[in-house]
Amino acid sequence: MSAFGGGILIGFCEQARKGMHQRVGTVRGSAARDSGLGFFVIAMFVSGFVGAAIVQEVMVMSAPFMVSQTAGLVLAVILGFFFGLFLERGGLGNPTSLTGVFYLTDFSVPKVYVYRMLVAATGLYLLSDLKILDMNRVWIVPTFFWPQLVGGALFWHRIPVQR
Amino acid sequence: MLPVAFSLLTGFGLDKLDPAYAHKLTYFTQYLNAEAPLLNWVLFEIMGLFLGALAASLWAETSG
Repeated sequence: MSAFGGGILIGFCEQARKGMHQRVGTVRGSAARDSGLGFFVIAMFVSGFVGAAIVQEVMVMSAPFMVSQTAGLVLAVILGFFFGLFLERGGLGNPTSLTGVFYLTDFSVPKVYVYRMLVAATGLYLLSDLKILDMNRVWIVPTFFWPQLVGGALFWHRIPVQR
Repeated sequence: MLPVAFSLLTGFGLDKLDPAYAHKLTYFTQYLNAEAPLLNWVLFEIMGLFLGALAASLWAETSG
């Protein structure tokens, strides 16, 4: 439902953005681009809230590792520390890189995210096989095929307009 | 990670202000029913993330 709501909202944003392009002004291109980004951010937040309200099965995360609670929390701080360190040192906290994703000018962040997913998926099952991690304590987002398909189609529909 | 930490802290803050109302909201009860809501894996990971980002920033400043 969240993906569907997000897709519908982004579709509306697309229509609103088209209207912005038709306005007369010296900086109409950038104005339209900025308003498009604003709409996109609002759409993401609204779809997140709608999704949270509709989907009842929400998660509370505890340490998925088979260690004591104290050790799990210490591990969380250590893992978080290195996650933040490498993100920042890798330039992924750079606002230009982050906004470049929405303007389709900088794809470094999505590339890293794809690699991150591959590493995470491989690592999860490897740690599970090594009996270090309990997969039953890892919440996997369920697939809602048709809503996600519609949301994705609406999302990608706006991309040619943005170029 | 961030939405979970944000929801947890919002629920915890609301519980301190108005416990009866906070426990009525299903979305927050999952966080509030825990023995110690703030001893949460994600919250500690976020704290580590901020510390790591701070360390990287300081490292970048000192290394020029």
